[in-house]
Amino acid sequence: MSAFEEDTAQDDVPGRMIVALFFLVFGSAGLALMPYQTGTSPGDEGWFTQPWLMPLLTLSLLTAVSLIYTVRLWRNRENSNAALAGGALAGELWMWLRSAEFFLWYVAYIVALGVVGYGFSTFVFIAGLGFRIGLRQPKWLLAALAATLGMTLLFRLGLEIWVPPADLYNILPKSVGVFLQRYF
Amino acid sequence: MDAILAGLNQLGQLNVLIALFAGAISGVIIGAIPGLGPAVAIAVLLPATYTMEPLTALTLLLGIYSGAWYGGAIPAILINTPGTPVNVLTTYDGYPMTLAGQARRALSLAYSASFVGGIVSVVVLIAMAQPLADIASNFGSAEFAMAALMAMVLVVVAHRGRVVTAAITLAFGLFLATVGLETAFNTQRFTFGQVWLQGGVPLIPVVLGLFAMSQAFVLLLGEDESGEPPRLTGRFFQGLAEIFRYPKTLFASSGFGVFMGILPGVGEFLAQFFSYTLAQKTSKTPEQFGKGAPEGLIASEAANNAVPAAALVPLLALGIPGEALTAMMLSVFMVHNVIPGPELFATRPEFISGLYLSLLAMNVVILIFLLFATRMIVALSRINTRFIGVVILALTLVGTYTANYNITDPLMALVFGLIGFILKRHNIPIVPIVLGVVLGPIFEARLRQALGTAGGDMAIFVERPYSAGLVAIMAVAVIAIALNNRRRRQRERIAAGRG
Repeated sequence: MSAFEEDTAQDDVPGRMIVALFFLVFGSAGLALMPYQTGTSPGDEGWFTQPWLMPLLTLSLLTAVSLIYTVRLWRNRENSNAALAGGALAGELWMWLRSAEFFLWYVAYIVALGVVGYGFSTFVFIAGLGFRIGLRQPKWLLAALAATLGMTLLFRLGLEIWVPPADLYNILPKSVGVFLQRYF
Repeated sequence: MDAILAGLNQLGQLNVLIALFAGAISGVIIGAIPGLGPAVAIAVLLPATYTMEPLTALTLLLGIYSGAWYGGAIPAILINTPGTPVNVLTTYDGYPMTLAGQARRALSLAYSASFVGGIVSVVVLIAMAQPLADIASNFGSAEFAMAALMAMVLVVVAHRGRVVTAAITLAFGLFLATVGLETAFNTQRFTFGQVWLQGGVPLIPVVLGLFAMSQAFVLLLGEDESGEPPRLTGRFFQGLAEIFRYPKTLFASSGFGVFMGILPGVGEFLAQFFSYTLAQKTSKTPEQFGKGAPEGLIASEAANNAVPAAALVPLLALGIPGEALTAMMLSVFMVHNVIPGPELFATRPEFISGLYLSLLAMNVVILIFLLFATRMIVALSRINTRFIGVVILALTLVGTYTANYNITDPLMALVFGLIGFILKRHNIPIVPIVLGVVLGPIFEARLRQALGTAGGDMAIFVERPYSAGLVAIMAVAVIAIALNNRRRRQRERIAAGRG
């Protein structure tokens, strides 16, 4: 194994090829957009003061190295073909898509924070996502409750992290609402 | 003497003491839970530490950093599952010892080797940081620009077998650092007219996404890897003094850890690899390695634990972080307008002394905690790793959303979480992204200053002695890896020809 060769000697070439192409396209698109997304300094202080210098250097490096990596992966495509035949690419993409599901769970968690407060939304998030991934025994509800209490104690009481007022607390009696807003 | 007393005064503050105990103990626990790791914990806690005093915040984060490597040895030894990735080699000899009914002996060997490595590392930090800072006081912009560049080059080169992908992710991180309002001429760079991008890509969503969320996704989509903890057998205190029967391994490994810790980007992995290899080569019983050799265990643990304090040397002396965890710590300095580097030693000696003493005290607290709480910590290795994934994701909300109370930060973190998840699945390094984000602005600012002084003449980087020295180190590193590659290719060609 040499320092450079392990980069392409894995059997997960299809996934790596997508990653390499992503960075290649990202770098190339960035370079193409440079005239519109950077500027030039008004005076004549020298090339090294130009705002476009660092984006140019970094995007050029990104594009060049991604290109090298893509070419190496392409040369090593026997692995790629074997993996493709086995449906590895579809499996890989499915795995990426499954991770995107958690994206939605998380956005729902943030939205719920402003509606039902930190403590309750955290409990629902942990218990709900736990249920979704197969943790369905009653003990996991207790574990979710314990984790919620621990996090609430740490962040709300210990570190006194402020969270936005929850809509739910406004419809509760004022003293209860104030208490919950302060500690949960 | 005054500095030591001032440092003791700092350490004696209640909030620092609480941070010391909380960081050290939680670090051990975090390390002992497979799949969690200090990077996740530090990323989650980082935003909360911004409201603390710098010494309190750094003590807490360093406690987690140091404690995790100690704690990571527990599942490595007992259930053959490293608590953190850097405890991999500990499984080689630790687990066979457990199978042989010597679990307690293995644990006490690991604890005491870690302790010696940790203390040696702090002593070297104390001895080296000030002289290095004195040298750095002669640094100008050219030297700082080259020091930042050297850190980047070494980070890439240190990713043995993944140099190309490390270069890609470093370039990606460096580009991210250029996004936003460029302050010299108020030019917007890659903001696409979006107000929320004018402040640039913030570090918190990047680290939370890349380290915490991506790890949560890995755990959520993987199988539960928790195991049944075995019974603790054998004599517990047997190994504490036993390490001194192998002084060569103990101190050579600690030395490797320190050296590798100081070098940017190298860190625990290469330190333990080299230490283990050397220990095996110099052992009287090399055949025992991998079968329960105490020297193997000592080599791995002493080297790992010698890294954290040593990694602070370039951070404190030059203001240049060498890896992701110290890069996160640099942000704590920046938030409080405390600039690490030569001036810090002159203007805040009490802070420096306080940091040294807290690092020393931290190792003692961790060792004592481990000696009495191992049985309790062992139970943590039974926690379902998928449930840990859910909790990590929930923990990140505080860091992402409550930093600015806008939806863009958590969304940005989620995007980086997905990127980190995909990169991790393909063994593509993510640490260079964080280093690029942190080192990019330092490099750009210093490069401009240096070239401005020299009227745009690039020769300034090789005309000044310290700068030329840094350029030489970079050149040697790159040439060495190129030659190494060439030799390997020749060997492989010869081997293929024979086959």
